[in-house]
Amino acid sequence: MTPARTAPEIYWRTRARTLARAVNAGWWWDRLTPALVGINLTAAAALVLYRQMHWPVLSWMVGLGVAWLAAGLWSLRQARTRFYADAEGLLRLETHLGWHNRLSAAAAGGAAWPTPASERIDPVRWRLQRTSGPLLFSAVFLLLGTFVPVGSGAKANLPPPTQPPAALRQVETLIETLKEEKIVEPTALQNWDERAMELRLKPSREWYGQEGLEAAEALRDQMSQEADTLGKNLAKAAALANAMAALNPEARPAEMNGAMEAILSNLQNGGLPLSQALAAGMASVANLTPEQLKQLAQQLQQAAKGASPGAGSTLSSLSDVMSALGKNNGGGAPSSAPAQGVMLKGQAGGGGDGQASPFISTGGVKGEYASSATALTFGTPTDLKANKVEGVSNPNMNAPVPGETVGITMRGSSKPDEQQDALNGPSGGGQAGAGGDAVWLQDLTPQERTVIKRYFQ
Amino acid sequence: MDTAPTPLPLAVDPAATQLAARQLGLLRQAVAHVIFGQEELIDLVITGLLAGGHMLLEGLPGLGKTELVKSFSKALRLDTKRVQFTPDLLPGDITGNPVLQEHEGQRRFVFQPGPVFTHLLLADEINRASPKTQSALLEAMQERRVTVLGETHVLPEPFFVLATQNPIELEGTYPLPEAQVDRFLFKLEVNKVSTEVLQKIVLNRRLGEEPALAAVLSREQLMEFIALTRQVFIPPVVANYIARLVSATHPGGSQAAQAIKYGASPRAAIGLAAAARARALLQGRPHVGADDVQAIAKPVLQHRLILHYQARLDGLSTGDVTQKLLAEVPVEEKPLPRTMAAAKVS
Repeated sequence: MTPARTAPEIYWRTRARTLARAVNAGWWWDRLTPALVGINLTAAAALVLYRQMHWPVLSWMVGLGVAWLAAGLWSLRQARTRFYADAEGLLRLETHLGWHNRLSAAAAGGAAWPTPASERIDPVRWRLQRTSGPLLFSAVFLLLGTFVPVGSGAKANLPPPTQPPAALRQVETLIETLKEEKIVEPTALQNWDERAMELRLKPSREWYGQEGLEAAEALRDQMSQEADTLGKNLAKAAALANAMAALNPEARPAEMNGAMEAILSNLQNGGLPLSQALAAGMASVANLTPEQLKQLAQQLQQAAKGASPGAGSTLSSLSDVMSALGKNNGGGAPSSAPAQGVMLKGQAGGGGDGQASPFISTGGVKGEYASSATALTFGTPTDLKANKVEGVSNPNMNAPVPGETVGITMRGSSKPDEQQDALNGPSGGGQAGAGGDAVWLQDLTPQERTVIKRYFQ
Repeated sequence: MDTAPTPLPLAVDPAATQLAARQLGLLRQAVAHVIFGQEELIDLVITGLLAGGHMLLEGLPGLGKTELVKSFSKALRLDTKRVQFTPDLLPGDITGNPVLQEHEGQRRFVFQPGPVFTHLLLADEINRASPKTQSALLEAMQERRVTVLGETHVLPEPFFVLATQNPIELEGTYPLPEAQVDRFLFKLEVNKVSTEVLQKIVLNRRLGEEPALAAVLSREQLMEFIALTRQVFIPPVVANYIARLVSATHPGGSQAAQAIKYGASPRAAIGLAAAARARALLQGRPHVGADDVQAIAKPVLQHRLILHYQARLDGLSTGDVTQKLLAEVPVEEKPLPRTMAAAKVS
């Protein structure tokens, strides 16, 4: 049976145990501090990220707490190999007191327990400054992570957009209009609809990305251009139908029917082919009565406005139509020469608000320029003197204004004049170089110009 | 009524140890009256006697090694014999020889004990005798008996050998082998005295005149003290310290052991414990402390360590290495954490 402990023994064993626990706490703190510093620094960086991404801070706090707890347990396990038992506590006490291991001998039964000390005994002292520095440093970082201003990463957390880009909505509106007005062939309209739907079905967050916006705008521009062309052609057809209705069937020139056929051909071959109902009406103009022609003209006019609100026609009178046919131009009967195109620099799809002439001009009605590359030849074509190149006045080739003709491109069977001096730039009444040459002619240095000039001499 | 629990009886009565300490203190004072300026040496010799070990004294001639032994002999009333070791000394001259005697018409061999049959044997310049003679003495030291012609003769108790050797006259000597040096508990260095002590010697000594010294203790008392020494308690922490200290003397056991080729043996550990007990008794304590071990570590260990040749060329001595070991091996096996420090004793 173990003998009961005396008071001095209880006293000294208690003191030893207290000291051992303090030392053990020191060992645990020794192992814990580096882990805490590392966790705090990592948590500070994570907190900045959380704030930037507007993630819930509660989860960060929970994670930090878990990390602290894990660090505490891990460091406890690491420190246990260094922990003091009561015997080590006694040893520290007696070493501090200079008692020649008396306490250890007493604990082993080889000596008497000394009387309890009346004064406080502190065999060890804390040196927390060794570990508090890095810990405070990491705590400062945590505070910085809490209060430092962060950039707006809120974009990532904004609710997704509910409406597609305006360009896409415009395309869908135009498609709806064309469907309701039954202007375009449904199968062709379905193609455009599918393309629009493909963009709409993309994730909403991608609508307003660079690619999404560009795709929507490209689709809108393309469809707008086709609709504008459709509208203009319909306006032309409407004007022509009106003009035909104003004339007696016997007095109608045959070319009017041909012109209507040409317009119909353009309408059926475009990106928005005309519906069959309207096409059938246009195809039978030769057989229509004036009232029917007026009705057809109304339908075409309405369709033109539906396709392109700005595509109106100013040719409301017969004289306008006749003028458009080139009868008062003095240029002779329009030839049936191959279509000629006038390439305009700086001019986009055109399409004003009805000011542009719907007919190709050889000088232009009222000096206006055509906005469409579609060529019409009827009546007595104007002799364009295709074998000659008629220059236009453009003294400054380097800075043409939009809409200004800088050259004329020859198409068809006409051959260019080989004797033509390609170096002579466009001048009033003089010869002009090919329109496309103006592009590279500008880039030649004076020395290069001299060489080429000498070559062609 | 609550009564305080009765403590267990201790191995050693503290009163007995204190009484022993007082009487041993008288012995110390008595010898110090004759041998001036060697208090530490006197303490170590008493410690060695209490531990029951033999001692090797190393010092220059004329420092009082022989006088020291004689003083102890007188103070303890022990039978003392002195043997001057020379190269021609035979083993029989140490242990004794059988002598042919005639008695009543019959001849027989009668053993004549040698000088080893004494309490205190002063073996002067032991390194001058041949290895064979050294072995005879060392065997007697170890076994405490002598066997001649098949007959074993036990040496008297107590039996101590205080051997001396001269560190400078190495020509014509036979250095003791390490294995036999290990049988000495202590190797004590007798250092020269200070000028003040020398002056005192000059004033108090006459050439050829032996100083008077009265007996302080009897042989029986010494035997009691030796028995009491063996009962002095060694706490487990101190035993652990001794073990760690001896282990640290081996190559790889510590930083200081880098200079050591061969370390101390378990006999050294036993010697440390015995000498520590003796010192504790000398201090009047019934238990050993780590400071006791530290006080006697150098005389116990320094002659048991064999240094590397390079270390010896560098001028390192075994005493220096022992001091380094004591500084490197802490008493507490488990250190304090970084966030703590041992408080200074006020």
